[in-house]
Amino acid sequence: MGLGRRLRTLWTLKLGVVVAFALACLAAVWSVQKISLSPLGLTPRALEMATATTHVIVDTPDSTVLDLRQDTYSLEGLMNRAVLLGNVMASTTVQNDIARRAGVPIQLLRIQAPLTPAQAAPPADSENARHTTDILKSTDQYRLDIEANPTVPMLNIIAQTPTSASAAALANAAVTEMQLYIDGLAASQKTPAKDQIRLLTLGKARGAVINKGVDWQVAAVVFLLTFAIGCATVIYVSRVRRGWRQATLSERAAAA
Amino acid sequence: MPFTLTPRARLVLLVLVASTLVGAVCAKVNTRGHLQLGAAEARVMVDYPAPSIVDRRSLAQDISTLQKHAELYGQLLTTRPVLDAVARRMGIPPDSISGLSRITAEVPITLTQPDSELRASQIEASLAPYRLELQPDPEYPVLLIYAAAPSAPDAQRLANDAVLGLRDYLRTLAAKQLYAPANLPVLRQLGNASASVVNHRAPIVIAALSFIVGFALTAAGLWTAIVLRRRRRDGRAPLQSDPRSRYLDDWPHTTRLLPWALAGFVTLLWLTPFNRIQLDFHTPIDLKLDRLLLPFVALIWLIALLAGERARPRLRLTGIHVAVLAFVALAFLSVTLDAHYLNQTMELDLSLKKLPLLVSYVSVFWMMSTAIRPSEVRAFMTLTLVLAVIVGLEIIWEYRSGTNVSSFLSQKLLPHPLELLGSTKVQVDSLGRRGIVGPTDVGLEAVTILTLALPIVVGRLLSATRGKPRLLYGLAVCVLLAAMLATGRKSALVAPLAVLLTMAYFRRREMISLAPLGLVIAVVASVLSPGAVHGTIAQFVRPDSSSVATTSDRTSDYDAIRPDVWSHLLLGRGYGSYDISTYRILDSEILSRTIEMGVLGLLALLAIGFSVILCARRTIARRDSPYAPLALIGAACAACFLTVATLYDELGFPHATYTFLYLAGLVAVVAGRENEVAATSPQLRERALRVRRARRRRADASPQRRGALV
Repeated sequence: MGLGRRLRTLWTLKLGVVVAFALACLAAVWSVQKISLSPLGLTPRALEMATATTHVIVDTPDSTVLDLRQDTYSLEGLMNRAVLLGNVMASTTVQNDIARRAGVPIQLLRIQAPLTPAQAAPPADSENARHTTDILKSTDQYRLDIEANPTVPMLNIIAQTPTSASAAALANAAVTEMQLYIDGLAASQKTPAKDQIRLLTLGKARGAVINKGVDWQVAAVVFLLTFAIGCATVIYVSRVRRGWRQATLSERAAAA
Repeated sequence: MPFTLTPRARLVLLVLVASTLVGAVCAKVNTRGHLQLGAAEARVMVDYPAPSIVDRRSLAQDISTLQKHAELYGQLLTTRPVLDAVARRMGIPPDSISGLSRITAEVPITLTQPDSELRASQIEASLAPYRLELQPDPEYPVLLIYAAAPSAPDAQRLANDAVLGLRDYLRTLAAKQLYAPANLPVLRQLGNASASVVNHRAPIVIAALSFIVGFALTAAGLWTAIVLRRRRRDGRAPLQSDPRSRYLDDWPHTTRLLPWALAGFVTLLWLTPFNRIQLDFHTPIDLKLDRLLLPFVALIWLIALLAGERARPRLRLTGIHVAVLAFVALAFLSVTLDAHYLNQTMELDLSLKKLPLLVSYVSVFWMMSTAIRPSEVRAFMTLTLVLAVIVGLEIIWEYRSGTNVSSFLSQKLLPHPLELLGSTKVQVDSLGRRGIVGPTDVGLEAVTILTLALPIVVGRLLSATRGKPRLLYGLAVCVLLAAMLATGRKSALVAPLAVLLTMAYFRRREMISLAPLGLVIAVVASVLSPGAVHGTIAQFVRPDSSSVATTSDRTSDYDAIRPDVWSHLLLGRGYGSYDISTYRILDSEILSRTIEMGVLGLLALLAIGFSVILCARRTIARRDSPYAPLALIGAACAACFLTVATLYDELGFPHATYTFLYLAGLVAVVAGRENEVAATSPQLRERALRVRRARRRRADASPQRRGALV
């Protein structure tokens, strides 16, 4: 076991260990705070992940929720409309309106349109295409997932952002903008009230953070990794220096 | 005469007492708070107002309409207004209740697996103390309501009040929409909700787990500190050769029971579908064949501890041991620290079933690394090679005939009360690939075990100088490669490549010399498994290769698991607690470890593979050491282990895990023994001397040397 030997080596290289420790502390602070030198200050990084959910039933003036005369075919027709509405929400125009209403940077907002049995994964060329590097992405993202229930005409609108307030605002903004879009369309086309679809909003979204205390975990991971790499570097450098000294001594001995 | 303790005994006693105290404190601290969990179940039928669907003459579409409404109400019960109505009925804060609805309709599995946003929402919902889960019947207008609450009466009330809350909401909505209350659908609760406490033993189990973890970690920490302190005082003891090598009864020329038992277990691992063989009556844990036999091997190992020097297992702690033990410690720690959450989500039992399995994996490593003499490692490698070739031939036969020989024979030969689970016929996956698996559970696992054996035969091929052994080893390579390709998995090209590249890194010149033979091997392999080579390569070169289900599903996992990773970053949500049937099928051990054991667990997993390479590195560099080829095999196996960790969840498949860990155990036996030529068995000693003499002859014959001599 070389562990004891290496610990002993580190014990004799106190300066190097102190430097590695200081570097690890700096990295740990940097991982949770943005460090600015001018003016000198620390700004917290967005590491928390918040979520908010709301639901909308795509309904008719004679509510399908209450009216048992609405048969399976009516419900299936509404389900298709729900998928269509979900796709409308993900379109650029509505997306921009949602971002504006929620106070979210437009370029950061990603909306995932409903997936269906026919389109079970996002298209490879879309902005929602998946990559293996996704796991390394920061939590500083503004995402809206619109899920169309495959069996009933209900849309689940799920927002994921760095703060609970922005998550709730985003989910609620999506519902509001969808309602405005439908109202606008009906008004422009003068659709009779009895033929209009209605959105039955099922409560306001409430945001919640799912990873409270993640800051210290990130700091701990970064500290441990940096300190371990730092100590390994200290040992390596000491070995290089020792080898250099031995080579120098050998050369001197050979010259003598 | 007064009773006195030796200083060593006193030290041991002190460590035990301190560890017990720490363990007790851990148990006390971790069982604080409310741990009891009640669950209840209620059924509701969605019905027409009078007359009921039961009484009236109805068409199939009437049932279908009601069933759709049952599904709709199931979804409604997870929404905030209805949950608030239920909370009002219960008299609890609205935020303390959450709802989740399961999709029971037949839809593609990708639609039922939660993506990142949905998973984040599920995690938030799982934190609520009162939870509802709704499952509509896929055929009839019946809604199943499952309720979880801090006690059984609370759960019962929650299940009953869910129906009342939903009724309240429908009435309120009807009033808003001026809908006649008499025409509202009727929610008929089919009997009062039945409730019970589902985790009576949770406090005891969590206390025991916390005690074990606290005790073990404290004892290990204290003992390490004592050993390091003693080493600092006395200096490091010189590395001694294994005293058992003095005895010339190496396996298989021995009557020692332990190596024979281990060899028998290794044979069982390779030749039987042990993970599909179990007792045909109910037991608290799934008693698969390996778990039935492993205790006997462990018992023999324990008895051998009492034997004399010749047969006694001998521990020589290496970096591999440290990495494996660190992994196990982190696995236990991850479950212990998250026990409250897992208990709340009813996933603690899942972890508690997986931890013993992990212990059984590691016990094989431990027994191999302590019971096998350095001079026996080569024989065990030979055994592995022979078994791998048998499995390879079996897989080729399965590919050509469609009959899984190991399953077929197990079905015929298994005595009562053992039974074989699953079919003996070849299955076909979503890409149209036939499930050629041999004795393993999936094709990838078959590829893994064969790849783990590949460096043994390539190593032998490198050292073989005569024609006949060279021919035989060449044929063995052909069989292994043909069998891997016969599984039809893309990994059949990726995993062997990792092995060959690792061997090439350490033995460049020798591997290049094998290149012409490689061409012959490729031709023979394609003859043995006709069409398999083309089929496997075609999967890489087809135009939609990056968007086929197996690739796109894997890629989408990386984003989907982010909420799980970020919510338990350091130590994960607990080893074995991520149920793929509830959440996502993760085709990556890297992802599974990151979710279940956090970043530290992932590092520990990687450390197992890298520790084998690092421990073997120095031995490999000493080419004249008899252990160098064995260490090289270990390094290549570790490369295979690390590579396949990115391709599927290998720890969930025991054939692959056992095989890697016992090979790692064998490497741990020989690692760091590069200077021990004199202490090994006569055969190895003779071989080492031969290599040294040959090197000296070559050096003498080189022009520089001749010039220097002149």
